[in-house]
Order: sequence, then C-alpha cells, then structure tokens
Amino acid sequence: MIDLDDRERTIDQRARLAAAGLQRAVAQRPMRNVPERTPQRYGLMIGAVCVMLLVVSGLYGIAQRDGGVADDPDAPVVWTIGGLPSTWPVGSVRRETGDPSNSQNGTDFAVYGTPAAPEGPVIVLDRATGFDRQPADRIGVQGIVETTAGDRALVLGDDAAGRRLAWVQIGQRWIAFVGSGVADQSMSSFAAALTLDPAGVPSIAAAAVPDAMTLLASGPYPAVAPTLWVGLLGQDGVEPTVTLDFVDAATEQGVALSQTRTIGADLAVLSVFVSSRQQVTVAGGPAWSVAMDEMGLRAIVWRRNDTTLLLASSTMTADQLVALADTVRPARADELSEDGEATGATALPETEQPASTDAPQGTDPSPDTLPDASPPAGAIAVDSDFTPTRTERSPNEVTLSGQLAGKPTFAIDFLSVAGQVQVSPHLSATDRSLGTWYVDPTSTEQPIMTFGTDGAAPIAVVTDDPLAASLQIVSSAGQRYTLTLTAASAHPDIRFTGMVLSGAHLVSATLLDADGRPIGPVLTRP
Amino acid sequence: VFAGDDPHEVASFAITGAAVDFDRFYASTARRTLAVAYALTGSWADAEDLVQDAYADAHRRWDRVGTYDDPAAWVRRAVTNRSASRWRRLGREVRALTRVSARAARTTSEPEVQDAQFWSAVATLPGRQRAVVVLIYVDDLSIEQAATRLGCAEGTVKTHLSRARLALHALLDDERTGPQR
Repeated sequence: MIDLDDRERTIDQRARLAAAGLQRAVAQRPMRNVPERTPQRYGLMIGAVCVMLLVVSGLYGIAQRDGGVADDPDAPVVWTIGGLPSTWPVGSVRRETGDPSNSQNGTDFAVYGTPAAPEGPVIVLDRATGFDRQPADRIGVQGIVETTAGDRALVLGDDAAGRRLAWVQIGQRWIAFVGSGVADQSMSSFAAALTLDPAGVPSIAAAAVPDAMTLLASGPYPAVAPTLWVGLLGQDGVEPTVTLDFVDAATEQGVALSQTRTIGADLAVLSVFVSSRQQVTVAGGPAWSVAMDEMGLRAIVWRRNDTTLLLASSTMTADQLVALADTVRPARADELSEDGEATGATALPETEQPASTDAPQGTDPSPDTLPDASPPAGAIAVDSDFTPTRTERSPNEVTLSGQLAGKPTFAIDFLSVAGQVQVSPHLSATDRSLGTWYVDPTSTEQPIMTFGTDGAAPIAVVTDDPLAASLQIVSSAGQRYTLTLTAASAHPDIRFTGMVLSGAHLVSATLLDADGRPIGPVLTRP
Repeated sequence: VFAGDDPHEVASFAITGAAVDFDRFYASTARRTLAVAYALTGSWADAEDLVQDAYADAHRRWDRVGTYDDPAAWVRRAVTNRSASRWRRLGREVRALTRVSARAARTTSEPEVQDAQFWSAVATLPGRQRAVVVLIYVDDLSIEQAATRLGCAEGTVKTHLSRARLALHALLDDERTGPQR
C-alpha cells in the first residue's frame, strides 16, 4: 500500500511535469494582441479627453456667463448641477442645449445621487450620440436616478415616441439605453453593473424600434473586441421576434444579424458582458430574473409588462442566442407564481438554481411593485418568507436585519472602517427550539471569505471578491444557510483585496438554504 | 519562464509604478496568467474569459493597479478569485456547449496540453485546494508566497496542498484503474 508521502510525491512530480507541459502549450497559443488595438484605444482615449475638455470648458463658460448659452451650436449639450448636493436628492439639472433658441435652456430637473466632487455629476449629451436630435421639448428628463461616488449616473426620459431613454455614465464613459417601459430601478442596477464604453452609442439610431430596448456598448478594453449581444423579444401575445444589434469594436459599425460571427477571438469579448451580467443580476431589481434554457445556457431576462429583454450568455453565438430567444417569451403577470417565478407554457425552463452570486429569481413584475425612482428608503421586502430590513445609518454604516419565518432573527452590521468592512453578525432565534445560530467561522464553502476565530463582534471579514461575499449561517442543530451579499461597485477607497460591503455599496443580499436555493431575494438598494 | 514573461519586465513594473504601460504589462504577463487560468478551469475558453476579465479590471483601475509592486499578482489573484464563482456554472455550460459545439465552426486550433487529464482533475478540486495547486505548480510560488496571495497562514496552504495531492492521487488513480467493485 502506498503511504501518504509516496502518494503526495507522485502527484508532486506529475504536477511539475504537467505544469511544464502547460507552459509549452501556452507558449504555442496565439494571444490576443493588445498593441494592435492601441490606435483605436488611444483614439478613444483622446476622444474621451476631448469630451472632458469640452465639459470643463462648457462648465466654465456657463459659470462665466451666468446662465447664458454656448456660442458654438455644435458644442455638446451640457447638464450642470444646481447647488452643491450632498445626499438624496442632490439638486437639480440645468439643461443648456447650446442652441439659444431652444426653450429647454436653463430648465432645471431634479437630480438624485451622491456626487463625489462638488462639481459632479455632470451629464454630457453629445450631439453625435443622436440624443440631441430628439425633439428637445418633448423629452421629459426625469433626472439622475443614481450617482454613486461620481462614477455613474443615469438620466431617464421619454422621447416623443414614448420610449424611455437612459444614459449611463461610468467614469468618462457613456452607455445609452432605449426602451419602452424601462424600470428605473432595473436600469439603475443595470447601469451600475456595466463597465462598457459607449463607443457604440452612435448606433442608438438602431434602437428606433417600437417596443424595443436596445443596449449598445463597446469599449477600448485590452485584448478585447467589445461586443454586446442583445436579444429583443416582442410584445406579449405576439410571436417573439429577435433583434440583434451587434457592434463590431474594430469598425464601430453595426453588423446585421445575418452576418454570423464565427467563434474566434471575438468570443471572449462577450465575457466582458458576463462579468457585467454577474453584477447585473445581483443588483437586479424586481424586474430582473435569471433563466437558463434547456441547454443550460444562461441568460438574463428583463421583463416588465409586455417587454422582455434577453441578455445572452457570453458563450453564445448569434445562432445560439436566436435559438434561446425562440424558447423564451415574455412572462405575463398571470403566468407568474406568487414568488415571481415564471410558470406555464411561457415559463423559462429552469434547470438549476443560480449560483449565489447571481440574481435572485424574478419577482412580481407588476409595475405596482416596482420601486419608484425616488431615493431608497429602508428595505424592500419581496418575499414573505424572508423579510429583511436595511438600515443605513451613514454611507459607511449599514445594518441588514430580518427574520426568516420559523428561522432565526438576524442582524448584521456592516461598518466600513479604514478600508475594511467590519461585519457584526447577530443571530438569535425567537423560538428557543431553533437553538443557537451563529456565523460559521469554519466554513470553507466560501473561500473568498474568512472570519475571525473568536466570534466576537465585530468580526473582520476579508474577501478577495470585490463584489460579493457570503456568510455561512449555521445553527447549533446543524441548520445551515448562506447569506450572499453583493455590491454594485468596489469601494473607492479600498484596494482590490479589501472589502466593498460598505453601506453605500451594498446592494443586495440573498439568503440561500443548505441546498443553495435562494430563500427570497432581498433588494437592499435599488 | 513563460514565453512572453520577462522577469526584467516585471522588475521594471515595480520600479516605474504608474508609468508602466499597460500594453507592455499585458504582453509580458498574459501568457503566464493564461496558464494559471487554464489550470484553474481546465478549459482554454474559460481561461481566456477569466484572463480577459481580469485584465479588463486591471485596465480600468490601472491608475492604481499600475502602482502596485506586482500588478501581475493582482491580475492572477483576480483570476483565481473569479474562477471560484465561475466554476459553479461551468459544468452545465460545458455540457451545453459540448452539445452545440458540433454546430459551431471551429476556427482556432487549440494547442494540446500535455497531461490534460491532470488539469481536468485539478479543476474538480475544491476552490481553495485548486488555487493552492495552481499557485504552487503553475505560478511557481513558494508556500509563503502562496499564503500571502491567498491571505492565509502557511500552514493552511500546506494543509490544502496536502489534501489536494491526495485528492488528485485518488482521482487520477481511479481514472487509471477504473471503478473498483
């Protein structure tokens, strides 16, 4: 019989040989060539700098002329913030179109958010995007739905055709959304999740499809030809149709659906969206859900009223996406179970529960249940079996508490201190028969997180994942749950190894049972 | 040393900090990162996805990441972390893709990996064990360095490594001998 050392030694030798073989294979493998994309990337960077300069000059000009208008009719439309906001709501947006005759000049709109800098957020709507071609006096801009740490913003409005427009700013980048019946919360969450460059924004014209939602984005990522696939399904009761807008990063031109892309270097492009999708789902509002087709391919389905947006898996080809879209039709309210799951003939085939970092399952898509665009106030309980409460005492201090029916009552304090989040779990059982509950410090199920060993609050939590962490909750009787916490963005003051679950960034929590099944989604921050 | 991985380049990153050009950084470190990702996932496609995501993140935060002593370690850590969550969905996606791949044109030739069976076995290990194996054998880190990378004690790394070796031995032995009745 081989003793332990021999077995380990055998594997050690084999591992070293395998590693050497892997090195050779990698050396032979063609790598995506970053320098080849450099000109494009630099071009976009230069463009971004130009936009920034325009913003600065525009702001300066506006400030200097005390409400006047720009002299250059080709200047970008600049939205400026009235006042120096500090919290929700933060002030107003003043629109300067650059056109002296435009009646929208000087019009103020409400702004919500928490700008990081006194001068921000600033919304720039470039004429090249096509937005400004909309009849300005018929666009009802509702304001910035969310601005966190100055790194994103969302402006919503309805154009003359009744389509909801949404502009998302991430850093200096913009993404345009056009759709009908866009839920503010969903868009906001989606916006928070996306980190794509809006180089494809000019193709917003492609969104001029009634009852359509289009998301086009691309960006100068390294080794990436950013591409985004969007499946669009038709109205309820109408045979689903699919519209794909494909923006080729190299040409920044839309590519017709009929142009089948081969699986090659561009395939990985889509994985940018996978990352985004992962964040999208965890931050998803009630209108979002995760579904998988019968093949196990994943998709995000946004549904509200009669519109369904299908966001495809990165692993899909165009043909696969079309095939999946054909299997998915919008779920009507009467086809949803009480917990929001789609049922019946139009239900999305479900093969497995989503991973803990994915979205909670869809909930009631009724417009009545959708949070409005006002700032979040406390918790949004969406499941009768799990009623959490989120209390934000300060931007860096938040308590998530709740009671799981027949299960323990818990309260978890998150306090961001000096780049690290301290988590203070308090678990108790109102019913003594439920025993004692505690956060399991020994769990190895979630290696991204470790706990202190003393169990005393606060427990410092360290996670390598900048966007998600999990708490293993276990009772003395062995009942086990996982509370998955996700954030919309990394804490700006925390390095990648640090924590992100500060109050301002914690966006959702999902409780999973011992089998990994979600027990009701929790939306902690719209 | 991996092709494209120039140790002098890495050293220069440490010296020049934020001035490091991202393209040079990518070109000089991507292959090794890809090897790490492959070892974690057992799949070129998934490895490239992981690598791309990690570098995309690094690119977005390059102002900061570029100032780190070892930006490549940042990227590889990101790859390791991402692989943990990615693995959960990998199984069914692989199965699905296996089915649909017959319809997809194969446009790239995949280099064969010597002893791919070994990496397939590695990919089935629990996340921490898998990470330790990859860090030790592929990223060529010492126990101490791996502990630092993973943010745990050296003893923990040793434990995971030992368990991983035993698990791999069992896995590979089972595959060699077939199921025992």
